[in-house]
Amino acid sequence: MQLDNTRNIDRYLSGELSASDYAAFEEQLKTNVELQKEVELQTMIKEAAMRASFRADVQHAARRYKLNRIIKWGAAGLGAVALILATSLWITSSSKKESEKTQEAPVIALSMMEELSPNADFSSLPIQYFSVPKEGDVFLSDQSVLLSVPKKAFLLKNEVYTGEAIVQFQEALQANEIVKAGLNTKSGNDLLETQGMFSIHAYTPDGKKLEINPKVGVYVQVPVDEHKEGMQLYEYVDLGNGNGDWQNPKGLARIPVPVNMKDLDFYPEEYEDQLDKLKWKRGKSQRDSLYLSFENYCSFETNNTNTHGTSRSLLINDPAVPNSQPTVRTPINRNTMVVRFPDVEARFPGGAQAMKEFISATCIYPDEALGKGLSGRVYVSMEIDIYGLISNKKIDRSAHPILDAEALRIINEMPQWIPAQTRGYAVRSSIRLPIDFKLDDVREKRKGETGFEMMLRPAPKIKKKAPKSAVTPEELEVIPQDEPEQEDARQSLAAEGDADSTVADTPCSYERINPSKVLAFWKPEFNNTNLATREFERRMKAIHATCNEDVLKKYTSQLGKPISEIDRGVVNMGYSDFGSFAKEQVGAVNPNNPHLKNIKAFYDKGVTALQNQASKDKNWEQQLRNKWDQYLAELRTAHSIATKNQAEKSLKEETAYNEKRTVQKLGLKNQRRMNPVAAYPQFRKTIGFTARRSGGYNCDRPVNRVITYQAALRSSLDKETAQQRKIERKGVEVDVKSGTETRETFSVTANGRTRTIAYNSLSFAVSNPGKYNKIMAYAFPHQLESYQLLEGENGNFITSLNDDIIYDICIVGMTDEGYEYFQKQTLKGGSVGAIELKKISESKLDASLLQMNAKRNSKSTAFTSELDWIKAEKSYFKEVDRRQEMEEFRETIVRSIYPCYGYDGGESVEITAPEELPASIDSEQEAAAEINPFGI
Amino acid sequence: MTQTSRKPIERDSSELHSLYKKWPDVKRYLRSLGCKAADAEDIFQEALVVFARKRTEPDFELTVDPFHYVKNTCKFLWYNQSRKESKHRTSELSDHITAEIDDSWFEKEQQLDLIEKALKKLGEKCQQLLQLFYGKGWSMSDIAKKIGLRNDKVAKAQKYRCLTKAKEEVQKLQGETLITPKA
Repeated sequence: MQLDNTRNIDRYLSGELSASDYAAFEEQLKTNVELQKEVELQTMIKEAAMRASFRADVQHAARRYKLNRIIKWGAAGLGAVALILATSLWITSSSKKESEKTQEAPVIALSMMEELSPNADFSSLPIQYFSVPKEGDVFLSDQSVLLSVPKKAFLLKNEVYTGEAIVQFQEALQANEIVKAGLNTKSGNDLLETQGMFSIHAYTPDGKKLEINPKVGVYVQVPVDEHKEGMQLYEYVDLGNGNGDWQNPKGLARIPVPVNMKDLDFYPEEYEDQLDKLKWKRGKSQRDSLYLSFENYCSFETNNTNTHGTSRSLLINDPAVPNSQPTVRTPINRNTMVVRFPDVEARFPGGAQAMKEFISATCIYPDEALGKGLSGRVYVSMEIDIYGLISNKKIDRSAHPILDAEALRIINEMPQWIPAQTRGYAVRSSIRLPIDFKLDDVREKRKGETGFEMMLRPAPKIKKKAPKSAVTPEELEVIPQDEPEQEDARQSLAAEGDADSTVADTPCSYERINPSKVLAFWKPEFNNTNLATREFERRMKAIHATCNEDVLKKYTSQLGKPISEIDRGVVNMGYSDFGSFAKEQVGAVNPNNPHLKNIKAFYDKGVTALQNQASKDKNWEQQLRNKWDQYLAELRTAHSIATKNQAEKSLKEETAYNEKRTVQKLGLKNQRRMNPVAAYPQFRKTIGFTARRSGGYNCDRPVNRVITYQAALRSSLDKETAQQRKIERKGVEVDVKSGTETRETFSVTANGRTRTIAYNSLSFAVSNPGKYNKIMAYAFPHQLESYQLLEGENGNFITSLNDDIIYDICIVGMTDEGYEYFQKQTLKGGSVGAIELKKISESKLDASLLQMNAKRNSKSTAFTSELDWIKAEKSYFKEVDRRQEMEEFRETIVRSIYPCYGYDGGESVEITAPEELPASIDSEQEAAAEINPFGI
Repeated sequence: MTQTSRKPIERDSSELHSLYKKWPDVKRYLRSLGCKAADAEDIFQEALVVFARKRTEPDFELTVDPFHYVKNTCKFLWYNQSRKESKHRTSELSDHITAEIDDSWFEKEQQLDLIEKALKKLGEKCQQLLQLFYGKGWSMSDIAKKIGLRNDKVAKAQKYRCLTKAKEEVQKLQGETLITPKA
């Protein structure tokens, strides 16, 4: 019954019933709950049977898998290794036993295993076998110990074995396993705290014993919960009585734990401390980019020979010991230190040609020299500070005291220069200028130009009278005639000062590790490599101290190598400091990572990209500066032209004013009718007519009739007197003109009267001039339209004021903080004495100056462009200070970045130079000095 | 499905073998989930069974790498088991998992487990016969040859006998498992 039932159900489920039976069964199924259950159960059984069959397959696979592993290994030898307190080990050798079996791997496996197993070191531990293909493989043991067997890891009778191998492996990681297995946990009589014991042997597939190739080794990585200090690797020594002892402890390779790159710090040791001290920005990206900006950092001092004598001698006595103390150099002040060979020489605003013109315009050939027929070339040396101001001028080679004095005066008259630059920073430099005084044909050429020349001098201070005929026959020989190509170069330089002043990318010669090399691997892409470990982080600090990129390269180019092996390589390079690193026995992270090759390429690419970035940034900054400098240079040129025009205008106006007054006073006034048409009285009378037709009318008359009319008017005067006065007026005009130019009291006699035009000297001194970057004084004459920019030095101003004119004086001083200001109205000369400037805001300064300018008379010349210039000058000082600050900041930081900074070869090469130099100042040197002054 | 139309189910045992080679990986994975070493292999094998069975279903389409399928199945199985054992309960995990798990499927699996256990109590020949017939789809005559029966008719009769026996065993086992909790 049961059986029938089962058969029916099965046939039903298998679709073996006939149609009618099937229908009947269905019918029955609907009502019979028992039957339903039966059917359900049987369905399940069917499925379960199916599953069981699959399970059998799986178990078959499992058996095969295990068998395979068993097969793979063959028998074991005798070397055993206990990992006492170890994390992982780098086994380089292990002893073996021979086992002679000649059976084929899988089939024989079990029997072979049986053969080999007794050879295992720990009879009580389970044995695992792995078969290793020729090319090596990585295995994971039952307890997750990683075995990495590279190719050629084994030796067969001392020859490298290249075939397949069987590795026999035993492990006991947990204390209970060790105890259960009855393993010795002592070394001699010392108790050991173990973190795992292992045995590893290798055999050929036919059971021949293999030795581990000490040059290659088998890499074993053991997972542990913690790194215990002092963990060592002990070797198992069989004592022959079934017991063994652990002996020959050796240092263990610790596998560095990969750390996320972003948690690591690869900056040079003092870099961040230094920045923190300076309260610099904290962001990693900002610090990275600052760091990168030191790529190929060269100090401008590199070329400087006249500083740091002490550090240089230190350098000589103390050959670049990388770790010895960083530097003895004191922070430099670029404004006191003269840079001998700056990248860009200081130059006259507008270039060489402009200077030539300036000198010829300024020079007044001294009378005495003219009389004595003196001529020659005077060499003047001077220093141009970072603001472009001239100082320390002196005669280098004299031609004649009179000419020397004139040469110095010309230099005094010079405007601010554009300072020399080294790596984009203004530096103090010295310049030697030849100034030629030539009597020859120049005299002819210059005749008649005197007046023009005089007017070019804004505020003549010269005591001696320049005779009208005293032409200024000077000529500046700036450019030696025999070097035309150089001239071209120089002129193009003058024209576009920035073209050649981009940073010279000549890498500086001191040893250093450039930031690009570091930043290129400091990326998440390098996570899980040797580089992303605390161990390497510590090494990196030491690598920075070596200043040797080759050391860094050792680590970055051998990512698969155990770190300590590289450490040893570095020790061999002569860095004995790395010995202590080598002793740490640090292994490699992921030595078999297939991506290591790609990562290496990625690194190289990264370095290049960073280098490009760095030089791009540098050039970009340089361009900004150049742009700024160019803008300023243009503005200065424009201002110096404007100042000249202003002075010219001022003189003209003053002359006209003096003339007018004089003519008036001398009673020649009525006669002054310069413009007859202007004299025609207008609107005094009316004319009238009657229009008698429609159309256009014109009230007009031929012009010649006006002249006739004027002539008729004049003829009413005494023709003779008129003629006489005209001549006298001419004389007066000439006298007044020349008198005014000297700005000294003078008298004019005409028409039987004498008229004196008085000039009072005005002097004032700004107190504490040293605190100002620049002091400017303006005189606003009430009766004239123009204003005057007064010339002064060190805050001392001397000028002479026309007694007939009332002046207002304004003084503007620029300090780092802002402006200071003083004004005094209705001055008529005399000594004002010390003047105390008071702080003033920029807007107030603007207002005050504009007011002073505007209120004196209704036609005063606009002052706004002058204000623009003042502001540009002010910002120039700010910019220069900013650059200097920047430079000093970088000079401070660079020491924390490049420990060997300052020990550069470039400087040591120059050690001999200063001694030779003084001796060899001969013609050749001189010639070089002459060629150079304009910034080549 | 008629017997004549049955075809032996083509099964590539090499796939199972290659999957089994990944066992260390799966083991580490399972252990990382908190599975004990002892349970891990069972779960892995169970997952392989599930995979093998699924493989034979006509409408089963493998969208991922077999290894990943197995690994994922391992995960489900482990979560199920741990849920059952209430050992592995973290609020975060269980929320996440319940969404993924179809309970009826799990219950059926458990029932199947039970039946499988019962089948194990059958004689060797019975087990082989049932497995070959239902699992591998062999024909009765082939089975007869394989396990040394005279012909397919005998084999068939044997099959019914085995089935009946199996049902008895199942009922016996069900009775036990029902009683056990009470006891």
